[in-house]
Amino acid sequence: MGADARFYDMGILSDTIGELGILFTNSTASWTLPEMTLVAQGAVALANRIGSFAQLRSLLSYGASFMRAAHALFYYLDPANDPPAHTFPGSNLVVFADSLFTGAAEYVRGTAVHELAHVIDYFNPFEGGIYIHQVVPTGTHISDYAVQNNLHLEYWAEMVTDWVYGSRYSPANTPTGYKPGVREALNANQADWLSHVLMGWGW
Amino acid sequence: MQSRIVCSMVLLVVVALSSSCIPLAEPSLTVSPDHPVACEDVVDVRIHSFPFTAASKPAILAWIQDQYGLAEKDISISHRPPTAELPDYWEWEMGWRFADRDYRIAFLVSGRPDVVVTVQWQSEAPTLGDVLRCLGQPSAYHAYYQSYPEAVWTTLDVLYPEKGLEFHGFIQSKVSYIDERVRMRLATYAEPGSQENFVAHVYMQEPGTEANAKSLSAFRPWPGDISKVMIDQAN
Repeated sequence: MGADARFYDMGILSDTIGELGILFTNSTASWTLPEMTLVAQGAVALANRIGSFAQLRSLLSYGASFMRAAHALFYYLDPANDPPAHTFPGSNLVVFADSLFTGAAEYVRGTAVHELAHVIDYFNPFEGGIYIHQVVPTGTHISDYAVQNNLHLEYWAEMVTDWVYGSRYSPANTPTGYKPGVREALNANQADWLSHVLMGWGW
Repeated sequence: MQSRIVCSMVLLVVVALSSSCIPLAEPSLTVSPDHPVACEDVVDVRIHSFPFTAASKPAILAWIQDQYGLAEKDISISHRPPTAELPDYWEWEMGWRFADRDYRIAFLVSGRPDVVVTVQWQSEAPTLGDVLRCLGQPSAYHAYYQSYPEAVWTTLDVLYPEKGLEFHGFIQSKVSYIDERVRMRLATYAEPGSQENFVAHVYMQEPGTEANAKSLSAFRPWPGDISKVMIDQAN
């Protein structure tokens, strides 16, 4: 994992991220340059880990819309919960809420990667309509969230995030790094499988 | 701009209505305390005989076979050599299933003879109430809101370093208090000792290092009353 990308102004950031087909939009809140920078750093880190902007652009198919909102839209269904981010299932619309940006920088970057992994999943079905998340090799306890694997969507997204950031990504929000049974690194088979899926090496 | 937002409408509608990545409301604490877990299922006394300080691959394999009556073929063994990306990680793991629980032993971190045994319940994990009833008051705990990309959960770790035990549980929502119904889904066993040494074993740290100090600082002394447990804010 190399250094984080640096963007000296909004124009450079927009051009760079635009190459990936990602568009920043405002709704009930507006993006600031520091917020956009963290999210864009996540996207660039994913592209670098995959090996090229072109390959990530291809995986994103129709690109992605990164919408800034005060709250994730599902918050309005249940105000007791305030999701920091989410991707509309089956779409390339990703919402980033205020609460995300109260978190650590690594968490924001990692969340951007996690959400892009959902978009990749939705737009790259295999033959027969099988989605990536349906055939993902499990076996390591990446996080409690990954293992609970709600809707069978989250293990994949957490796996990609660990593949990009390793122990730098701290979804567990603990100051402790890896810990057996709680926060584990991908094994070699999982990393190899991810490389084949994301780098276009075939199956 | 809207044209850039491509949706698979069928999937969107079906999944959005049923999605658990949508944080549907759930009771703050979802577990009934009506069926307490027996203490012999909360603490596996076999592990008290585990050779934490003299662990080698043959000794661990023999211990598992002896204690659980398993053949070698029933025990998964995996090796992860240290890499530049992961210089400090468990090199070996052995795993097996027994009585609806997944057991794993992770050992050797960067040449250190660290050994951790974990027990993950597949169903009917003990509650915090079960743990307190069987083991008494823990010496320390760490309760915190845990931020994930699409949710904030509540997590609890309780420590019994003198017994070489830690229990880890979580609730899939942000709750305002902890009570005895929290499911403790993972037990971690390591060499008993001081809190500093025990935490170092469990978290793959050298005692006395900055990382170890940071981990230790997250734990609070057990207040003696569940209602006084404090939940740390996310991040």
